Amino acid sequence: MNIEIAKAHCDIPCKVYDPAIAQFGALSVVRLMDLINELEDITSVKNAAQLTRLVAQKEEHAQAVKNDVATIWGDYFKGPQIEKYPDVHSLVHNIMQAASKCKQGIDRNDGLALMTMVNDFAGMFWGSKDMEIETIVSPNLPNLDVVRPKS
Amino acid sequence: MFRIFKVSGESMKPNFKNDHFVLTRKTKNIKENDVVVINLDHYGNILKRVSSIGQNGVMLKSDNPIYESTPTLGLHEVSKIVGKVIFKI
Repeated sequence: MNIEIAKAHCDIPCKVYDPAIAQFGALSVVRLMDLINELEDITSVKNAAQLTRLVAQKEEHAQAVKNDVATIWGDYFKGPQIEKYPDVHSLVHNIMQAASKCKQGIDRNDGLALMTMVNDFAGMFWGSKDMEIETIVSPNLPNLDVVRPKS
Repeated sequence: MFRIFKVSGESMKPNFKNDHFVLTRKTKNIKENDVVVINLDHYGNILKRVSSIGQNGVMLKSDNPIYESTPTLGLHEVSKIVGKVIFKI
């Protein structure tokens, strides 16, 4: 009996990668930390419900950062890109650690550190394509710097 | 027409793991969320889930969430679908 192979790989070269999703995630983590820290009287049912929702969202966005950065690092960064940016491995590892810290706590500085590292990662990503980058202030709260390809 | 395929790869985990076997049936009754084997130029037969289907073609996605950020597998002709998965081992 001839059994054929059905590939379930994700190396189909659609080659569509963009660190913007991870940047959006990191930005959201900081915003959610702000909203959590602004909450008053969490003994009220309304605020307790809101806190639950905000914490869940923070978890989700921090995990999205991990997923997207890991995918770009694992699927996109190959020999030539790693040769150009040999520090990408340690940066990605640090992002994984920082995102976990953001999941665990609500210290805004942890969120800002994550945002900085994800921006560094975005810089490496676009740099690997020999694209110029620029830093803009996100129009979305909390209005943090975001690295993007120069338009 | 029924065909059996052996799964190779991790992108459809946890629902379809490497070395699983799937039985497919050729049918025109393909809808969103069906898992299909589709034959793409250059890549051969691949196993994916239908994210949407319409007159313009079929869009595909992976089950494994680690691959979420590469959703753009492209739009493909429905006629390229080899079969819908109806059973797995």
